Amino acid sequence: MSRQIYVARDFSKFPAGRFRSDGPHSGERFREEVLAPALRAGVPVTIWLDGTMGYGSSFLEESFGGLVRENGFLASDLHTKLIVRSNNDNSLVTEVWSYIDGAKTRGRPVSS
Amino acid sequence: MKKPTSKTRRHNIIVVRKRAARRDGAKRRLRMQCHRQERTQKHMRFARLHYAWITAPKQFSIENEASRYAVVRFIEELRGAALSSTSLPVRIDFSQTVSMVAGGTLLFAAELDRINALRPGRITCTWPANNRVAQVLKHVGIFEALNQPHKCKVTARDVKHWKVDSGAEVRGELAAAAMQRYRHLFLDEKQTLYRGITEAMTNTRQHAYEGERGDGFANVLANWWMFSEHRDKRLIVAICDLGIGIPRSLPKNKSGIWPQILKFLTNKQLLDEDANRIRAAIAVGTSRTNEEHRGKGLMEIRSVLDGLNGRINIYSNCGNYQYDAKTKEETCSNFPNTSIRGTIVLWNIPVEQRGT
Repeated sequence: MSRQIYVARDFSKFPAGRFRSDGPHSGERFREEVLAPALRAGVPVTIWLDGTMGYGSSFLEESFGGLVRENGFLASDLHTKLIVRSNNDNSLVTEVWSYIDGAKTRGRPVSS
Repeated sequence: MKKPTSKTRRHNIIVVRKRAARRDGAKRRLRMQCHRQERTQKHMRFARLHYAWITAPKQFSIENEASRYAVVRFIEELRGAALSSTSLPVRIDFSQTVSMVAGGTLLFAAELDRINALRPGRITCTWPANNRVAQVLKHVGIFEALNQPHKCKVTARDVKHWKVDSGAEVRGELAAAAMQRYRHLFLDEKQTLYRGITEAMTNTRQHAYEGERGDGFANVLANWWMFSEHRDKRLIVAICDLGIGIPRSLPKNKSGIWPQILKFLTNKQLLDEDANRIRAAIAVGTSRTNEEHRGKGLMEIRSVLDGLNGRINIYSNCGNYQYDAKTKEETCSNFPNTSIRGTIVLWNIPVEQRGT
């Protein structure tokens, strides 16, 4: 069983910005308050990207690339734990994985 | 000679009196006219003595060299006069202005906000001779910023569709609201534009105000200003900031991404030109943070046009970078000594032919 997270419902319809200091619906806030805690819970997580007004690359990179860079998740672990879905725009899913796979870790890796 | 009768004499007297009255009336009217003129001149002499007068340009546009020069000079004069500690209050004379265009108007509105934040209530204005100009000034909030009581009604169809917002944070809801006004846009168009607008806001937040602006005054507002308009089957959206500009936001540390930048621009001398620095920043995808995962915003701002056609202009400091998505043609223009001291990203997108 996996946990379902709908960005529009569980975070904001207007995601935008990279850091918390950028604005109220930033990628950093989404990662720290929604995404990382869900992944740490140990169950697979499905993220639904539909229903928002759109996504800037800063938001997506900080949310998903930041999991590896800031939170120390391994990209290989995320491929098994995280499912990213979008019915409207599949290119967003590819983009998210490119950020995860392209991110370089800064912190201590989180053991799976 | 026949002696006039008493009746004729009476008639002649009346005629003479009437002529005298007419003469007196004319004299009186002339006196009144002179008095009015004197009063106006006195008022003007008072105004000339008690205000620093600045004449607004004929055309508020930064699209061509001459009008851009006029707008930049006007803004510099305005900033200098309003922020000088010794000068008189400033009065803008709009009598010559006949045209307000998106980029120039947005820059003027942003500068006014900054001047008012630094020294409130220093600037007022005269009533514009051109009614459409008056409507624009009222509709985008410039009269309000100039403490000008506005008595005109906004009736022009194209002016009604103008909208200006501003803020300091990256607010997706404001970007969304700007697009919701244009209901004929498809969802994917809205999402693409939303992406571009919020990235431009993020760029402003993260890079634009990282240093002094260079005009001698403090950065009291780290804001963006947004303009949107739908006219003649085209949607125009512009985002402006009054920061250091893209050419100055390239990394200071030349060890990181600079080899790539220099590789992109084969002639190193071209880097002296702001438009080429904008082009390099877009192509290489970099910012002064020198971090690999950042600095992609400009490319994304341009990629809004993929699939939508249209045109983008990025005015920053002395440069103007233009990209036409239909022809894939890039144009760089430089305007030495006419820096807008900031950045304006302006999308011009055809929408009607795809609309419902």
